[in-house]
Amino acid sequence: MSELSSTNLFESQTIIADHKDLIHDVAYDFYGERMATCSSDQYVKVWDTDGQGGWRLTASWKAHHGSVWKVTWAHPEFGQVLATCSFDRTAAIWEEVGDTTASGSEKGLRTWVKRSNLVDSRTSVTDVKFGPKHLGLLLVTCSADGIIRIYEAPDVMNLAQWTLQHEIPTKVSISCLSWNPSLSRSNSNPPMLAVGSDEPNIANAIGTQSDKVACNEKVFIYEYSESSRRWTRTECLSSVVEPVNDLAFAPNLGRSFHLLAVATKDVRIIKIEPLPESSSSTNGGNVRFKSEVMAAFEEHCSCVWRVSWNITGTLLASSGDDCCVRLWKSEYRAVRGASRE
Amino acid sequence: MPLNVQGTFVSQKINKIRWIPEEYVETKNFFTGSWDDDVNSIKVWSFESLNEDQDVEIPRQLSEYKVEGDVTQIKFTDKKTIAASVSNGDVKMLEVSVYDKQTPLREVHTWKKLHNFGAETCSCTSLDTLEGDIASIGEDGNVNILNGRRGDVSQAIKGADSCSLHSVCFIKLNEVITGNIRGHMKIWDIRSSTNKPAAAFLLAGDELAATCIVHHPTQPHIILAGSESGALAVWDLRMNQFPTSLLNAHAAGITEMQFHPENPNKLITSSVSGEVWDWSMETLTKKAQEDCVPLEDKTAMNVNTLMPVLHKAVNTLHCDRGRILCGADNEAVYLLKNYKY
Amino acid sequence: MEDIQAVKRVKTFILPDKCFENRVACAWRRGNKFSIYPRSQIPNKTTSESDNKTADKILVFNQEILLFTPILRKLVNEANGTFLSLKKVTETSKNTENQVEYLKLSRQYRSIIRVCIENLQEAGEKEEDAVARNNLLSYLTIFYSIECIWHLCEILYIDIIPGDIVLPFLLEWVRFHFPHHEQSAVQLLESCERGSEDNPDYWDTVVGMVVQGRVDVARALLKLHSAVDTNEFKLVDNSLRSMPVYSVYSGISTGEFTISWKHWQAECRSKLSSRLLAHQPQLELIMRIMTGDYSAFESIRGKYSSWFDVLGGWVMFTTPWARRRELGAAAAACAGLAVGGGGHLDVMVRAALEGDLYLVIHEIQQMADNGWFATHLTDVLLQCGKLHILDKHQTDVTSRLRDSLVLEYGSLLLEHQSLWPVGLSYLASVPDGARRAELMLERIPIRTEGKALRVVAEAKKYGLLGVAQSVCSCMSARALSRGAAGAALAWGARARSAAQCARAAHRALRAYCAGGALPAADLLLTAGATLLVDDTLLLLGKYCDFHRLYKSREFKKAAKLLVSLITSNIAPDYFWATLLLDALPLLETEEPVLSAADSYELMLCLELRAACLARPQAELLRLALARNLARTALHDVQHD
Repeated sequence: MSELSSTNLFESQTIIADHKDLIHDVAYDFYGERMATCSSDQYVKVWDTDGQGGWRLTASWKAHHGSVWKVTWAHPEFGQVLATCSFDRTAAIWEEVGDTTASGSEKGLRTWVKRSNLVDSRTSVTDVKFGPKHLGLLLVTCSADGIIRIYEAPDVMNLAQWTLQHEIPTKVSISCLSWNPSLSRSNSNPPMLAVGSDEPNIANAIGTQSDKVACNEKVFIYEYSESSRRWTRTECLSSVVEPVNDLAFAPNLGRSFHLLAVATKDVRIIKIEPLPESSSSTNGGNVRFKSEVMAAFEEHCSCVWRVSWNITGTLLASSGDDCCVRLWKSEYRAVRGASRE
Repeated sequence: MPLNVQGTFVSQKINKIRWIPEEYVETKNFFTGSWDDDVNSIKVWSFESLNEDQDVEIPRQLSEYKVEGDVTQIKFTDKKTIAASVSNGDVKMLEVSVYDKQTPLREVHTWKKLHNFGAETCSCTSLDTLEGDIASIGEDGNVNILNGRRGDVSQAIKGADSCSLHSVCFIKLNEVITGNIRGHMKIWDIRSSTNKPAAAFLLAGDELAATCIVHHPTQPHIILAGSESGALAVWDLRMNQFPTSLLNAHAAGITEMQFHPENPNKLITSSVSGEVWDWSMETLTKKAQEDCVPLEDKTAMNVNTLMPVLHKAVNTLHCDRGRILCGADNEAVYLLKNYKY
Repeated sequence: MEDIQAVKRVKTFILPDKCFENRVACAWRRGNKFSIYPRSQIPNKTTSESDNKTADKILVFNQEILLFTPILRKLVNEANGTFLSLKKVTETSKNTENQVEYLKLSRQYRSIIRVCIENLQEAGEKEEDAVARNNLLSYLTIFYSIECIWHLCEILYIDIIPGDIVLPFLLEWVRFHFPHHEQSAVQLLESCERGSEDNPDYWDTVVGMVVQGRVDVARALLKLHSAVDTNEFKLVDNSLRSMPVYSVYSGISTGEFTISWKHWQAECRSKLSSRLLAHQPQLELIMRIMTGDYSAFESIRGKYSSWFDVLGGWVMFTTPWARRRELGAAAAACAGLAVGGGGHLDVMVRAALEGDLYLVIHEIQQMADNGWFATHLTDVLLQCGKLHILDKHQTDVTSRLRDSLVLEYGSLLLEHQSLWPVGLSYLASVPDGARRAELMLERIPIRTEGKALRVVAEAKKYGLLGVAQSVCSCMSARALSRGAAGAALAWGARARSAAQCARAAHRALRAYCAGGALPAADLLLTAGATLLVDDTLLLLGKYCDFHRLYKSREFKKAAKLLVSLITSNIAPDYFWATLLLDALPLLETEEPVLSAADSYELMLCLELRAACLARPQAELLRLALARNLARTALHDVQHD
């Protein structure tokens, strides 16, 4: 009976963002009730749901002197806080102030104040992300010259004061990064970051020596060691050798391993499994993980630009040059025999 | 006949339910106010017998009045007019037709955004009525006294509380008592021009919200307040500031209390833990006249369970002689018949 | 879970807007909502004109969930009650057999489905809009199928069947779901006309009644035939009447029954072969059906909508002693009658009859009911101990399958504006649910404190204390950004969060320093032990108390408190000036209220913190302290 087969209707709604140039990023807040957009027109805009399914522009301001690449929200416990990064080599922290008597409030516009400007990078800042809440107020940026910077606001009260805690050179151009959002209770996992490089491959021009091939790895895992107080690269994913446009850790729901989605020439889901301490020491002490490609979806048949997990990490959306958005669902099904892909 | 319970699912969480009084016959009509949904409304319903089977009565919807936000309270100002508070800060007076209950509710007065945080919305959390006057409270900590005949604000106590107010009750024409999110109770003399309470005391030491307040129908100096913890406190206002009794009652917050209109010794309460109880109040109110009463346990009271415990919160109840209406978070309304009072 | 046996399924949507020629990006919102936007990652601006035109459009997508339509929400809520009752039954009786309870709850589910179907029918009749009516009709189709499968599964796996002889139950199932012939039989019998064979449906109805095992009705219908008195009719009537029917209460064993039944059928066969019915082809057909003649069933199959319509009849006239687990062959035989491939429902019915619950559940998962059916049926079957599913490694994954269904279904509901507590109760009933619940509950949009209190109450009910704390902290942060210090403190205290309390207290102190009134005095003066959460909050509370004492002219007490606040050294830098200058009026009182020792202490603090004060202020304070020291030293000496 054909009428029994699932027909999932999608409703769509169009928002005219009115940016004067390309939109580079759209980020929802913790609740999915507010939306921030950023664009090459150097503006950042904030949109709020009106409770009836529509979106209302509540703020729009010129945030940088160059294209704004990414925008991201802090956990609401820290207030209404945004971070942006730009081609103008800076990242900025913004806070919404409740003062509704300011000009523009009659139009329903709110005021966002720049609390801090992070100017350490000498090249375009390509991505910015707040750290998991349980680590305090942390911010990580990465730049085109391959430096990862981790900032901390020692006093969560004071968003104007950020100290540069770590500077990690990677030697390759970094395009994107993702925090591992492990829940605070699983203390066994140290803070972890994944970064992706969009550096084009030059291996073919030079030759196919094995050491050159090693340089082509595009995804690196960094971990913070409490004892040495340093971030160190603990893994290079050998399975990804094409430029990476985006990557995202899945929310960890108590699994013993991590799932990382990577947008490269295809969509990959990579399982990163920590090895027990004993086995890592026998392997020379350097091998912390066993990584394996769980799935590689080539349906886009072209470059994949974005990957995005839903809250629980059961659905992955990917988008690419083929003008398609695909949803990938991991399900437990009553099937016998091998699993289907 | 034994107590008879009939539930009907109505696809809306019911926050308030009220019988619509009739002059000479037993009423079949009632109001519901919904909350926590995309669209909320005040509806008029009528019980109709199903195929001449007198025992089974099914509510049928007669009219719907949509509101922008949760319906937080419904109280009558006269036999055909209700005052309703809404979580967008509005207070509305609505009239139901005496002749044809199907005609849409008529808006008598609306106080738009009566409670507000400047341009931002603020919930009007509850109200009480007395002889055509309305006392409304909100998360802004303000108390407003509205004149239901003229439709104006006759008195406003700005900043009556530095926290949000959650319950209110008229003690007499010029006196209201409010309870806040910390269980801080304050008595206000409406005539006084100073924004100072006439008296103030705490519900309990646990700093949990006072969710509802009623006074004894025949002994107005006896005040009862329900707590977010499920405790029930009784004061004799002639005596002192400490509750004469503090009963650990329901397993979770008390949502509504009503003295039976025909028998002031019967108190009926509903709770977030899904319970509906009736209490014999003789002992409690008598003891209140003595000097010192130790805190007691509810086992000493005469308490009956009126309905099988629901898995979701029972938000509201209203009784009319032997019939009690309840509204709950499982999107159902319940009619309890043959209640002996 | 060490290993997720994951099946990745892909859904492709071609975007409706052709403007998005290339390079789209996407972002998840929450639940079933996400948005897409065009994007480019090339830093240098080489964007052409056409790109610019489409650059500013964001499409917001929203998957429609069938179960969220108001009429089906009743089903969601009511079924939740049954689900939780079932959970309670399994929890309270770990060891004892509880088949009766399970059957009761299974029937409760079915009656919920029935009510839902009736509601849909009623709404369908009232609906005037063609599209909406079509939708309702398609929902009806879904729930008819659900009812049919649930009923069959209940018979085969949950019901208590005396002697395990399934036939009466099977016939009841066929009759319930295919009432068409019974309805026309009633019509014929009501009009009660001799010569009813003129009615075009007459013979189909008679055959239908025989196939559904309604022998008495079939005989009554035959009596309406004008030729009822002929020998042929008498012969068939007699055969129908004498058919042995098994009853567990009749006292005869199944063996004895089998013998007598076979004997009866042999008689029927001999009557057929004697060609006595050659002139009455319809009666002959009935007789052939009674002998279990496959070709007879084949010839009538075309008149039925599905093969399982005749299943009851086939079992009745071939193996009436069949037990529940012995229906596979009958199912195969009947399914073989079908012309062409079977649909969804056919596959499910056949799988159920063959005992292949894998396949049943797999097929159910394809239904467009958002997992309602699969979740609840799997749960019931698992609790009854009737579900055993092995994966490719032969490990039992039954409870994992059930858990994953419950997780999925619960997550779906948790993201609904109103149904979130229902979703939470599902997640709370599976081992892995707590983590998910934590993630999702924390993200429930909260617009009012009333909702916040409920979310916190629900979180605490399921032991998700982290969520309760986080929600309170966020409420505190929100109140603070509105400038509501009292609410910020109240929520900070609820969160037991020193950081949030400190933030709110600092904000209040700074506001006071800037010339405002001391906020939230009503709260601070009644806060008690709550103040101990954080030093700054303690300072604020005590400072507020200092104001109260001063206002009520209790200068001695006020002075004592002030000195303790100053000497305890807990004040933030920006507050020192205020604190020190507050000593001034106390030094000028008629009766000295600060002792010589106090004055020394204050002088010491003043010198340490002189930088906090402007020069003239510091000088003034020094002078006042010195004067007070002079008069109190004298005073002290006199009193010594």
